[in-house]
Amino acid sequence: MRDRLPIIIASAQTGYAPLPELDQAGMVYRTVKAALGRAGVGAADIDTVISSSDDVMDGRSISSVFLVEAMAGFLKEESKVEEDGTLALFYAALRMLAGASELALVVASSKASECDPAWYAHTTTEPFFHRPLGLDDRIAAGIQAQAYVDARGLDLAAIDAVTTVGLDRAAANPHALRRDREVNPPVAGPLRTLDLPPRSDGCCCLVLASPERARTLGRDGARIAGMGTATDGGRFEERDLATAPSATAALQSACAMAGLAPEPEFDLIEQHAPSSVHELLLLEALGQAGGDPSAAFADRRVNPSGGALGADAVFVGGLARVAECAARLGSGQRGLAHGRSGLFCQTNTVFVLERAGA
Amino acid sequence: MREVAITGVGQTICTTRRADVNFPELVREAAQLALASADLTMADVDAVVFGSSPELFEGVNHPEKWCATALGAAGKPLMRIHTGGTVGASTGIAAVYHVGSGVFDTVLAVTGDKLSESPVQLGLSTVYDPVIGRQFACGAPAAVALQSRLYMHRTGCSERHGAMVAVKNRLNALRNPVAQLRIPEITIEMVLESPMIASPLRLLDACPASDGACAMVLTTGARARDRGRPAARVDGVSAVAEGVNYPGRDWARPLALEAAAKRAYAQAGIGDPATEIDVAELYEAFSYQELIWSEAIGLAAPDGGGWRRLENGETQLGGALPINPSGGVLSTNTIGATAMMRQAEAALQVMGQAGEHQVDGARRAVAHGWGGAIQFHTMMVLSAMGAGA
Repeated sequence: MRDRLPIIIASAQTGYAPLPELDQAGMVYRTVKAALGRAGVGAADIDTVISSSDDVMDGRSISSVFLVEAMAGFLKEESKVEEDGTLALFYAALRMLAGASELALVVASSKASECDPAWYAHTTTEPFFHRPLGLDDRIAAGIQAQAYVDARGLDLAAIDAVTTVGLDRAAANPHALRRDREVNPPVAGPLRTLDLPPRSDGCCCLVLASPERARTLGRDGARIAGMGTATDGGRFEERDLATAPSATAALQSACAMAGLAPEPEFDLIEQHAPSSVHELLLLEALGQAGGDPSAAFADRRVNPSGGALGADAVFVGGLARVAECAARLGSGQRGLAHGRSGLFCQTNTVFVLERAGA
Repeated sequence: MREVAITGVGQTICTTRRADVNFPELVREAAQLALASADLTMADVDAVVFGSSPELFEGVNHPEKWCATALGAAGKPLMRIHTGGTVGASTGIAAVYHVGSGVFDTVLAVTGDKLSESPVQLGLSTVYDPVIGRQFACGAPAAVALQSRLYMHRTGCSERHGAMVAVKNRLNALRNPVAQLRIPEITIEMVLESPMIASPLRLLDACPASDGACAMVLTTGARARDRGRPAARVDGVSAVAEGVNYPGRDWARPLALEAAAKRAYAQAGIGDPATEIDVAELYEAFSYQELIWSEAIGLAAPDGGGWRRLENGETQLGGALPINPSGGVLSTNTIGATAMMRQAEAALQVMGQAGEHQVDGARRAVAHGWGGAIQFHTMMVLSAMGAGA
C-alpha cells in the first residue's frame, strides 16, 4: 500500500462570495479548469472523478447529473459521495490505493446564495423527534458550543480570542471572505455572528496523482500518508456534546495507517470547525490541545488559512482545509487536515499529509 | 487490486408500502439478513457504505446519519453514495474499492428506499433543469419513452417485444420470494391492453414503486476462501457517466454503458460476453431497456439482436443466456436498492443460492445499473468462487 499513497499535486478554490453570474456548473467548470491548469494536465488525462454535492443545497435531485460535464467527467469513471468533500477525497484515495486510478479529480461544490444552508441543515434532522425542534446548523453549533463552554468553564473572552485570531488569519488568506468585524449580533448559545462561518458559495477541486503518475508528470505535492473516518450515532442527546468521538476515532485510524507513534506532532493543522468554540473542541478531540486548547489554537501552526471562519461553503469546507494544508506544507513537513459533516460534528474525516524532504 | 468477494447478500421483502418499518428499520433488516448470510455480526464489519436515492423520497437529508445507529454503524467509517438510480450499484462498487484498497477487510454495503413515503415522479421531475426543463418534466417515463421509440425505429423492435420482456420477467418474479409484483396470469395481450403512460410505454411495461432494501457483505478473496463456502468473486467493476443534453446525444445508444462494459470485461478477461456470460441482471425499469442494454454490453448483436434473442427464447430462465431471472426491475423497484439487487442477484446465481430462479451451472454473471438522465451506467462482473467452484 505504501507505494501507492496518492499525492495531491494541485488544487483550486473558487468563491466564496455569492456568485450570481455563474450557475453551479459554471462555478465548477471554472474551478476544475484552474486546478487542471495548475497540475499541468488536461481533462483527457483524468481517469476518475469523485464529486461531493448535496441535492437539497442544489435544489435538484441527483444534481451531479448536470455537473459531470463541468468536472471533466465525460466518459470517465465517476461517482458521487453526498458528504463533505473530505469523504469524496477519501473514496478517490481508496480507488487509487486499489490501483484503479492514476489521476483523479475530487470536486466539492455548493452555493449558499441559491439555498439557505440553515434550511439544508434542518432537512438533515431525524423526522420524528428532532425535526420539531427546529434545529439548523447554527443552533446545533450553539447547543454544542454551550455544552463545551460549560464543561470547560470558559468565558466569552476566551471565545472572542479564538474568533479574533481566526479572522486575523483569514484576512491574510486570498480565498477567504472579508467579514464586517463591526457587526456581530448574537446567534445561538454563546455564539455570535463572527464566531460562526460565513455563508458561502464555493467549489474546491483537488488533483490526485498516483506516485507513478506524479513522477511521470514531474509534479510534486503532499502525499496522503494516512486517512481515517468515522460517524457517530445520530442521537446527539445521548452523547457528551463537549467531545467529538468520531474525530478522535478518525485521527487514530489516520495515524495508524501513516505508521505514526501515539500522540504525533504535526507541523501544520487545518481543521474544519463549525464555530470558534469548536476550534477548541476539535483540537482536543484531535489530540492537539496539549492540555490548553486556547493556547494550542493561538499557535501559528493551527488553521493558518483562517479555517471555516474565513469561508465555508457546504460540503466544500473540509476539502478546502485539505487544499490549504497541502498547499502550505513545506518540504519534510507533516500536516493534519480535517473535515466534517452532519450536525453536532457527527461525521469526521482526517488526513495525515506529508511532503517529502528536499 | 487485491481479490474482493461478496460473501453475504440480504434483500428485504419488497412491497408497495412496508407499513411495519420506518426507513432505518428497513435498511437494518437488509443489513441483518446480509450479515446472517455471511455468518457475521456488525462487530466484524470494518466500514459501512450506504446508498439511497434522492432525499425527497424519505424527506430526510443525509439519511445515513439517521440510520447509523439502527445499522449498528455508529463509530465506524460510514459514507453515503448518491448517484440516482445507479446508487445501489455505485454503493456496491464503492464497497469493492474499500476492500480492494487494502484499507478495510470486511465491508457492509447497504442500500434502500421507501418510495411509499413520497410522490416519486415529482421527486424525479426535479432532476430536470429548473429553467428550461421542469415545465414539461414528467419523471422517468418521458425520457425512457424517447429512448424506447428510437430503439424501435432503428431496429424494427415492436411493442410486442416490449410486452414479451414484461411477461418474461413477471413470470420469473413468481420464483423469487422477495420480488414485489406477482402477476401469474400475465400475458402479452394483457400488457398490450394496459393503459398507456408515455407512448410506447404502457403500465405493464413499467416498474412498480417499492419499499425495500438490499445489503451485501464484501471481504477479501483470502477470507472468502477460508470460509469454505461459495462466494462471488468480483472480477470487474466500472461506473461511467456521460453528458445529458449535449448536441448529438443519442439516447438509444448508451455510450457510458459501452465504456463501462468494455472496462469491466477487460478487468475480468472476458473477450466474448455473449458466450462467456451465463446470466445477466440488467436494470430494466421499463421493458424495452432490457433489449437496449443487452445489445450495448455485447450479450446480443447490435441493431436488434436484443429482441431477436428474446423472440428465440434465449433470454428465458431456461434459455442460453437468461436475463433477469430474478424478475428484474420490472418486478421490484425501490430505486435506492435496485441496482444493488442486480449485483446481489448476480452474486446469488454464481453462489448457487438463487433457489427457484437459479440458472443451472451459472459461473459468470453481469450486473448492470443506470441512473440520472439515463447517463450514469454501472457494470459488475462476478464469478463463482469457493466450494465446488
